[in-house]
Amino acid sequence: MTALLAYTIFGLVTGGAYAVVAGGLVLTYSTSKVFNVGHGAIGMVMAFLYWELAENRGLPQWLALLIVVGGCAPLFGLVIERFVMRRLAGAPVGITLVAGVGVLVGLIGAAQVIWPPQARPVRPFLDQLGVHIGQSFVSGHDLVTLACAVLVAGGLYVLLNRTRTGLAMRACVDAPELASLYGTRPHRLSALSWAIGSALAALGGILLTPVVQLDYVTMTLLVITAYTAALVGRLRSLPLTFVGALGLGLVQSYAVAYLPSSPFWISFRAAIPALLLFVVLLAMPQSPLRIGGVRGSRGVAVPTGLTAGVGAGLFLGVVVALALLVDSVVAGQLALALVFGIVLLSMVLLTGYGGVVSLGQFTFVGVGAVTVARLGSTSPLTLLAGAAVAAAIGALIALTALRVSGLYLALATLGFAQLMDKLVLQSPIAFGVRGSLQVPKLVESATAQLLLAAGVFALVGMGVLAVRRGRLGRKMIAVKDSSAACATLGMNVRWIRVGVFALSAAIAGLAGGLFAQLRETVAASDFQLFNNLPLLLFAVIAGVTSVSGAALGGLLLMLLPVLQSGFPAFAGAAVVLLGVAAAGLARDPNGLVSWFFRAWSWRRA
Amino acid sequence: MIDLTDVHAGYGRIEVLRGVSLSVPRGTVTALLGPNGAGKSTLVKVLSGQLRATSGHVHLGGVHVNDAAPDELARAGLCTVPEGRAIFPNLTVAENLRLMRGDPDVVYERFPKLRVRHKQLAGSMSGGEQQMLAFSRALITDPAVLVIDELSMGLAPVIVAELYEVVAELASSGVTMLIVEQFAETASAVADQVVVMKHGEISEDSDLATVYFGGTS
Repeated sequence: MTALLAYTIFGLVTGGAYAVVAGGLVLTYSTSKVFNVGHGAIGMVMAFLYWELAENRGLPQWLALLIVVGGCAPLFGLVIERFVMRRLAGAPVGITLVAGVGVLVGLIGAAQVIWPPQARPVRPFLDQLGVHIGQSFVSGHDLVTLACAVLVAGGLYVLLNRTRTGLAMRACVDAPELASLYGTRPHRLSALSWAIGSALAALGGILLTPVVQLDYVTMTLLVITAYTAALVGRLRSLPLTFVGALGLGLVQSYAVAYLPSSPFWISFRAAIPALLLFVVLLAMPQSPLRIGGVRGSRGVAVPTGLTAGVGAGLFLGVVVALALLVDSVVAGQLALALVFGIVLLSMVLLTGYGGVVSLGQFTFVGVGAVTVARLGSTSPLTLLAGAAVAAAIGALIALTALRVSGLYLALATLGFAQLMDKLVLQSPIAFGVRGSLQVPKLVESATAQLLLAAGVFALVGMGVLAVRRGRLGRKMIAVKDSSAACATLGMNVRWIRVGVFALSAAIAGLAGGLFAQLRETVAASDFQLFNNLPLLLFAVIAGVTSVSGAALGGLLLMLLPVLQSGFPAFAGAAVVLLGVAAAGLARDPNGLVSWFFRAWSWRRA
Repeated sequence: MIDLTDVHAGYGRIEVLRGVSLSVPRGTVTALLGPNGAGKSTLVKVLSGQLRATSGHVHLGGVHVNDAAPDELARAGLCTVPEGRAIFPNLTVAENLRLMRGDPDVVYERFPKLRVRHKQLAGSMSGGEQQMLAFSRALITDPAVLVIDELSMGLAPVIVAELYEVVAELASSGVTMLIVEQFAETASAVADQVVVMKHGEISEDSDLATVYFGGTS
């Protein structure tokens, strides 16, 4: 009984901190219709800043808290709103998500440069204080956390329902143009909501540091927990969001208390937010077929079969010439770039053509790699087996998440990636107890590897273009533009989506197999959850709507770690720049490649 | 009060307004008529600050307002009721009225149906009730200038009559008005001046029959 009470209190306290973070998320989403994937990252950076002031510089805790939550965080929210989010008003979900991912990756890069990895203990608030409830002890920090949660809940409720400003904020979401005809100042309102939102992210982050430790990625991924809570309230209702957050805290706390402590169950605990995410998603009502909403996001021209064939021929010619010229190290790196390029081709199909944003595409690469590694054969057929397993899992996730679309679907893929990460890829099931596996190479020399990767890239690229030109491609574009119109035409929207998802997962799995045999040793650390985010970023920056964009993106993805090992400080800056670039480029979904092409056609004109 | 001088405006390369000059004297009502695609709603957008004129001058009460933002104009006393159901569908009726800054009782007395529905989400009401709510803004904000775009669109004749009754009352109380309509009779009945637009220009031809049914001269 005493233990139950203690775990309940612990759960409520953690849930209270989640509630603060989730409340900020709901506020920014419900007032600007931009789901900020970088919300957790803002909390992370602000918690580091708090450590810097309170622990490193020795400021009093209250002063540091005031400076961070009352000054730096709102200011940062204003900057993000002014320079990133304002330009995205009314943009499709995919684009706003990528901007958020850009912010996230940029912040992680910045944090790693400013605060290099080391242990950073943070003192809890009011550590001399505390009360005994029965036999369990509630610390001062716990009390502060609970008080903050209650204050934030009440404050947000009053703001949105009882004040004119809050009412105007909600009006701006409903009909921004009309709201400005009513005399409200839309920019000022959205700036305010971003300022409050990031202040809450900061507060939640700081309150959680004694629980989750100061870490770049763990705190950033708190957004999944906060998102699950927000989803309970359908991203709109604050009271339900708070209930969701407290429930989540309790479930996690009871899981620590009452689940067995074998390795599987320990990883299971970490996967609880993602699991609950799926439960909530399954309980969501079917999202209505979207009517209208077609935005003028023009894709790049689709090459004809002949052009694609000639292009593939030219591409192979260039690669053969390179293979003859460069040494084996460079050849290996180029092969890796092309393997990444194949992963990005899977996103061209899914995101570029299908309009479905996946935040979990790298997970399929991991699945393909594990399959090939486990089979351990030198037959090229193992690659196909990897693709098949990935396709099956892709179809499964698509079926599970079929009820939802757009933003919900994108975040479901992130939840899925976390689930796979905790339960499969990072557990002994995938890579064994040592966490790494040996893979026999399909072809020996680096030059042969390069040619193999180039051949597969050319084939898959032509295949993706053929799909786009064909019947399925037309249907995909139609579903993306207006699913409602498709349904009235008698098309089965669901199976098209499941098919596209599976096909895209298969391509990623194929790339995973190639990756595994190219590397010879693959480890759990190669397929961490976080890798999914730069993948989407590079895909969009390079151009997610074209095959040439995939090739460019692959090259950039390969170059990043090379830079990182050569010039660590520069690489950190590069990641920040990338985040900024993504946020800026997000307006043009066709990416850098289309920019090159446009520059070229301008010269010809 | 409203003065447009040789205003050109459009969307991208498509020019919709090709040199419109129009003047609405203080305290009078002007009905702006014209067929589909004549540029009437574009003119309303330019006037309310939603679309910037590419050339020409827009004056409100003698002040040059070409570059003013819609919210600035609204705070200065310009009340625009845009076409379609200009309400916030996910706010309740009472919340919609609160946003309008005024006494909701004025509205409830005029449109008792809205009082009954004051706790309901505005988007869940019938088209006529939504238009009443949208038009309420003209009633409670005491505007200096009122611009109404297609008030009668898609509504039952009874409701159109009810709304225009209020328009007539506002007109007699001295509010400067520009009423944009496709249907000539309802609007001309309350207007001091009737102006016809065609192909993005003010038509010299004031014979309505020619405008609607005649050839494209």
